[in-house]
Amino acid sequence: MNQPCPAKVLVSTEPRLDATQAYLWAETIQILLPKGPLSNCAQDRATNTSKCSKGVISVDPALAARASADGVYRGFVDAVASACASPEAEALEIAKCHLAEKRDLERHSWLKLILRVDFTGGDFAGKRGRRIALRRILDERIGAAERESDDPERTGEMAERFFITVKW
Amino acid sequence: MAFRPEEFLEFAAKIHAEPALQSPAGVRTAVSRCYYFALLTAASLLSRSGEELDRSDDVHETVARTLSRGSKGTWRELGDDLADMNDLRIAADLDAESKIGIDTLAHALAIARMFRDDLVRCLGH
Repeated sequence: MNQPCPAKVLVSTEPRLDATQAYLWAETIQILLPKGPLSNCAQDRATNTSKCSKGVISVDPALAARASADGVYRGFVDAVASACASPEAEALEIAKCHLAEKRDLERHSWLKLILRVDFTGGDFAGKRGRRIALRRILDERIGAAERESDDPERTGEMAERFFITVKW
Repeated sequence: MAFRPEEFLEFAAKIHAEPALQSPAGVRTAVSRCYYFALLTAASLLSRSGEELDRSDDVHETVARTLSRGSKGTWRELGDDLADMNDLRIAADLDAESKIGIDTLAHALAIARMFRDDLVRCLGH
């Protein structure tokens, strides 16, 4: 039986990445994710002929670097990437999405994780409906990540501070 | 008498309805007010529903997190709505290069109204 291949985030063997390595790592996530559209995307970029198609997720380099050094972060990012690459999410016609974290630089604290989603076409109500559907897909994967986490409390904290915004 | 957050929404709707008021500053202010309408309304309804809001933390984050960890079905989606409006607010208030037009205001108004309706439905007020 064919099971959907779960998206996996590349885990670096290096303890820390510099900015360039982190960027490459984030770029690599896109290529590692399964399913046609993402492969097409990589091919398109190589030939520079057309735009990336559905299901493309990118991760902010700073977050990618953090995830490479922290298993709890990695589990969370992995869950989000996996959800965005799932067939259910693909059906929502995601043009691209970008995961980043926002920090309060004055208080040196972490504020939240934002998944910025760009849906293909559709009016306002349609996009909001798709965002709600995507939220349900993501919550399911994040819930699983929380159960499997080495530190469920921290993963739960991330889930509480994880938001989806839409490019309208 | 306490301020009614609904006045922010009415103000934004007025800007949206009257072309003479749609200067760049007017439109940006109206987009920002949509967010503050949502924030104040959520804070008020959550408090009345018995939710404990951590006043020591940033109010923007506190309200969003309280919605996000809610257990009544659509609360998490309300947290996303608030994050969306906050994005628009930050662009309108702090980013002079961002393109904020009447379409942006229309979106902010639409999200704010849906947010209000869902919030009332979820919290039963």
